[in-house]
Amino acid sequence: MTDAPGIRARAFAQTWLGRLSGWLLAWVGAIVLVQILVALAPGDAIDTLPDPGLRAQLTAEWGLGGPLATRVIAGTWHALIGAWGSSWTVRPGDSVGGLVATAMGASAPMLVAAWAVAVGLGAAVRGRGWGEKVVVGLSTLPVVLLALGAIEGINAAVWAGMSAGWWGRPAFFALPMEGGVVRDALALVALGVGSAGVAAVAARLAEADARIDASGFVLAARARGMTVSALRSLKWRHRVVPLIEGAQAAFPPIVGGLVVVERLCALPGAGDLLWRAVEARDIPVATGVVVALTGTTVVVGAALDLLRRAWDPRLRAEA
Amino acid sequence: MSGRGRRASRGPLVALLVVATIAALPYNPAVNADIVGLGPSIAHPLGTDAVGRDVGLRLLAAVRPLVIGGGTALAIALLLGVPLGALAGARGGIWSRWIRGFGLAVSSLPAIPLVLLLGLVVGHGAVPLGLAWGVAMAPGVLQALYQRVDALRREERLLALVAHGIPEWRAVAVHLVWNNARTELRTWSARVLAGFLAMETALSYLGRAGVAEPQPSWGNMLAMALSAGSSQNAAAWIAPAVAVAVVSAGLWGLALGVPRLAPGEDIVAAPGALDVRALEIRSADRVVARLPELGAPPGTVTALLGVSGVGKSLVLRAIARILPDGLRATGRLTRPALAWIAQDGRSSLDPLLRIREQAPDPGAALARSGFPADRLDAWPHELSGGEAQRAALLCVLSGPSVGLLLADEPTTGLDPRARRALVRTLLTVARAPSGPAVVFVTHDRRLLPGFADAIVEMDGARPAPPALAPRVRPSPGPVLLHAEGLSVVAGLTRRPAYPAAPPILTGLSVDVRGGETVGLIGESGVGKTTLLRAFAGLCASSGTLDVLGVDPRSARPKGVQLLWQDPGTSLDPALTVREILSISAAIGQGHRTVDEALRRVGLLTQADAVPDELSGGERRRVSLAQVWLAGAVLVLADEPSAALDAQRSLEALDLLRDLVGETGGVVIASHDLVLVLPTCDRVYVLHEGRCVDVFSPSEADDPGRHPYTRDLLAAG
Repeated sequence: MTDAPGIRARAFAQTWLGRLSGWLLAWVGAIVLVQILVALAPGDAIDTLPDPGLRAQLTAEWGLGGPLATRVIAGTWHALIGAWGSSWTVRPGDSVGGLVATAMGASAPMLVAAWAVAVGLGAAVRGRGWGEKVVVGLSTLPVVLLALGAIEGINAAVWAGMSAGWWGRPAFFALPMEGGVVRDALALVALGVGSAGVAAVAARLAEADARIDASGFVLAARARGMTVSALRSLKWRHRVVPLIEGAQAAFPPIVGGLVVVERLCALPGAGDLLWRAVEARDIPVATGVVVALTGTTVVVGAALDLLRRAWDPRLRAEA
Repeated sequence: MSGRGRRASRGPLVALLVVATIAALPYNPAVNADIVGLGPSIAHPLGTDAVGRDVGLRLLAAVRPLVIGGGTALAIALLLGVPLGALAGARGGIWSRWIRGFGLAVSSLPAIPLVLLLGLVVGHGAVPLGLAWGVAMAPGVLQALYQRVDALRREERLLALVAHGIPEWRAVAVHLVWNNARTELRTWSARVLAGFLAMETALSYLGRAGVAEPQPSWGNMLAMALSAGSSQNAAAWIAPAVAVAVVSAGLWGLALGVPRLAPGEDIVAAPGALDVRALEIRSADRVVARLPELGAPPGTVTALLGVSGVGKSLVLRAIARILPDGLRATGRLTRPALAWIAQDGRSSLDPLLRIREQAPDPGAALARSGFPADRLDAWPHELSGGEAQRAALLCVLSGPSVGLLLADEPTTGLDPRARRALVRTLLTVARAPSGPAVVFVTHDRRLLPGFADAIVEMDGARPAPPALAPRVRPSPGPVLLHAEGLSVVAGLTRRPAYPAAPPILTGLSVDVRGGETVGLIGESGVGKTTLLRAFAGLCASSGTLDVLGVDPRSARPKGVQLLWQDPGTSLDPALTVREILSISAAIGQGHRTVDEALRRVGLLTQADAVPDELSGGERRRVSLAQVWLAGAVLVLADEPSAALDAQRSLEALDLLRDLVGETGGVVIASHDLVLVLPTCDRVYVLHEGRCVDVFSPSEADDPGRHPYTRDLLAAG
C-alpha cells in the first residue's frame, strides 16, 4: 500500500476503536432490553415487603411509580453506573453489587475451565473419525441429561461397590449433596461437553477444513508434494480464525448452561443466584446477574473479535 | 424449486405429519393409585409412574409441549431473524450495521438467563418458553441469513436479478433466501428446536419456568422418576432420557451437516520427465475429460488448448494429483517434481503471509519472476492480478527446484499488456539453464506464436452450438442510447455518494442506434463496467443520458438487459436452465417461449441441468437466452468473451447479435480490442478517465489513431 504509516496506524486504531465501541453499544443495548423486560414484568415483588418505609424508599429509588420509559432509563442508568441497589427478597437489604460480585467470582473458574474444555476438545477431536463423532455426539446431549446421567451413574456405581463390600462410603457420596473435587469435576465436564460448545467448535473447524482443502495455496502445496505433517502445520495457521469464531460461538451456551449445572450440582454461583432471584422475584438481583453475565459475554466476544482481526490481515484490511 | 428439491422436501414433511399426529393424540392426566410404579407389561408397555400414570402415553403426550413450544420458538426466530438478516444482507451499509448491532445486543444476553427473565414477563409454560427461546435464537438466524445474503450480494447476484427485471423483494425472498439460503434455514431451524428441547427439559426438570405437572414433559417425567427412587419402574426415567437423547442427536445431526471435501482418487505417478498416456478423468457416471498423449521435456513450453468445458484444467489437476472430490483418473503418468499455479494467482498464495515470508530467499528468482522488489512486504490481497501471478511464480522459483511448472490459465483476467508480460516471463523461466518444462492452459491462440514449443489440442465431447448465417449489417435505426458530457462515479447507487467521490470517467459522449454494435475498450480498471451500469441506471452519473427514451437515473428503461462478465452471476444456482428461462419469459411477458430460446442457443438437451453442471460457454448461452426471452432491445454486455476461447467468444457475440435482431443495439465492454473489433460498428477507446478515440473497424489502421489505441492493437 502506498499510504503513509501514520495514516495506516490511524485507520488501524479507528477500526479497533470502532469495533470496541460497537461491542460497548451492544452491551448498553442488552441492558436496555433487560430493563424493558423488567419494567414489563407484571406485579412487583416489592409489594410483598412488610416495611412501608422501605417500599416507599425503593419505589422512589427505582422510579417504580413512573411510566415505562422513565423506569427503563432509570434502570439503565443505575446499571451503567454500578448503582444496582439492594436485594429485595433473596438477601433483603444486602448490596446487589456485592452479591453479584461474590457469585460471579464463584462461577468464574468453572466458566473459564468449561469453556477451555469445550474449545480444547472441539479442536482436539476434529478430524479424528469415530473419536470426533462420539465426542460431538455427547456434546449435543442436553446439559441436564449429561449431568444427571453422570450423577446417577456415579452414585449407582459407588453404591454397588459399597453393597458388594469393595469399598467404604467415599467422602463425595451421594452426589450432588456432598461437595468436593468429584462434584466440581463432574460439573465442569458436564458444562464443557454438554452445552454443544464442542459441537460448535468442531463444526466451525470442519467447515473451515473443507474450505482450506479446496483453496489454491493448499492445492499448490499438495501438487508440490508437501509432506502430510508440513501440510498440517500450514493448515493450522488457517484454522486459527475459525477456532476463535468457534470459541466465540461456544461461550454464550456455556454461560446459559451454568444456570442448569449450578442448580443440578448444588453449586453456589451466578447461575444459582439468578435462579433464586427469579423464583423470589428479586428484580434487582436478577437484573444484576443478567447484566453481569451479559457484560462477561460482551468482553469475551470483543476480545475474540479483536484477536481474530489481529490474526488475519484480510480482516484488518476490511476497514 | 427444482425437481430434486421437491423430492427432497418429502422426508421432513412426512416427519412433521407424524409428529403432529402424535402431538394431537388425546391424553388423560388422571392418576391411579392402584397401579403405582408398575414395570412394563402388555397393558402398559413402559410401565407406570410414581402416581400410577402410563409412562408410554405420557411419553407421547410430552411431544405436545415440544411441538407447541418448539413451533413457537421456531416461528419467532424465523419471523424476526429471516427478514432482518435478509434486509441487512441485501442492503448492506448503514442498514446492515444497525440491524446486526441489534442482533449483537440480543445475542449478548445468554439464552437461558434471558428465558428466565422473559419468564417474569410472559409467565411459564410451553408457549412463553417458546416465545423467549425464539427471541434468544433470532440473532443467530439473523446472522446466518445476513452472511449468506451478503455473500450473494457481493457476488452481484442480487444486482443481476434486479437488472434483469425481477422486483427486488422477490429477488431477495425467493432467489436469495428461499433458493440459496435453505441450508442455513434448515441448520438454524434444527438448532432452534434442539436448543428448545434442551432448555425445556432442563427447566421442567428443575421445576421452575418449564412445563409443570400434571402436563407431561420429558423433563418433569425425569424429575418425578428420579425423585421416586430406585424401587420404582426404571423405564419411567430411561424412556424420557432416551427420547431426549435421540431427538436431540437427530436435530443436531441436521444442524451440523457440513459438506466435506476429500481429495479424489488418482492415478499413481512414476518419477521422470512428464509423459502422460491414455489419461481419462471420470465422474461416477461419465468420462469428463480425455487426453491420449502429452509429453514435455525440460526447458520446453507446451500449451494445452481446447474449447471451454473440455476439461483442460482437470487434466492439469490430474497430473498434479489434486483432482476434486468425486473424480478419478486412469491412465499412465510419469512426472518430475512439479509446481502448480492456479487460475487466479492470488489464490495460489497463502493469504496470511506476506510475499517475503512465502519466498524467504528470493535472490535471482526475483528478477526471473518479474515481481517488483518493493512489493515484497505486501499481503496477497493487496496485489493486482498481474502482480499476484508473478508473486506465485516467485514462490515457485524461490522454492525447491522443480522439473515441471503447471499453470492453469494464468493470463485470465489480465489486460493485453499484462498478458504479454506474463507470457514472456514464463518463457524466460523455461529457457533458463535447467529450467522446468512449462505446461499451461489457455483459450487464447494469439499468445502461442513465438512462445509455445508444442500445442496439444483436446477434443470436446459436448455438442457444438448451431451454426449461424453470416450477419448482414443493417442500416442504423433510431437512437437507442444517447449520452453527452457524461461523468460516472464508481459504486452501486443512483445517487452520488456523500462525500462525493470523484468520477472515474468524465466528458463521455456515446450514441447507439438500432442495429448497431458498439464497443467500449480499455484496460482493466478504467471504468468500462461502471459505465455500462450507469447506462442501466445502477451507478451514479451526471450529464445527459437517454436510454430508450427515458433517463435511467429516474426510471428503469424497459428493454435494457445486462450481460454479466461471469455468466453464472445472473443464473440462480438452485434452479434448472428451464426454470431460469421461465422467469425470463415471464419478464418478457411471454412473447417468446422457453423451448424456442433453448433451441436458438442450442441447449435443448441441457434444459434440466443446473448451472453448476454447465461449462462456461454453456452458461454464457443460457444468459443470452435470458436476455432474449426478457425482450431486450438494448443489451449491455460486460466482457462477454471472458473465460471463453476465441471460437466460443465469436460464437457468443454472433449469437448475441442474432438474438437482438436488426432493430436492437448492443454495447460491448472489453479489454480485448482485437477480439471484439470484427463484431463492432464503432469502438470507443477509454483511457485515463476519458474517451481518447472513436473509430469504426475500417478506420483501425488509420495512422492518425491515438497512441494508446495503437498500443492496444499491437498488443492484441
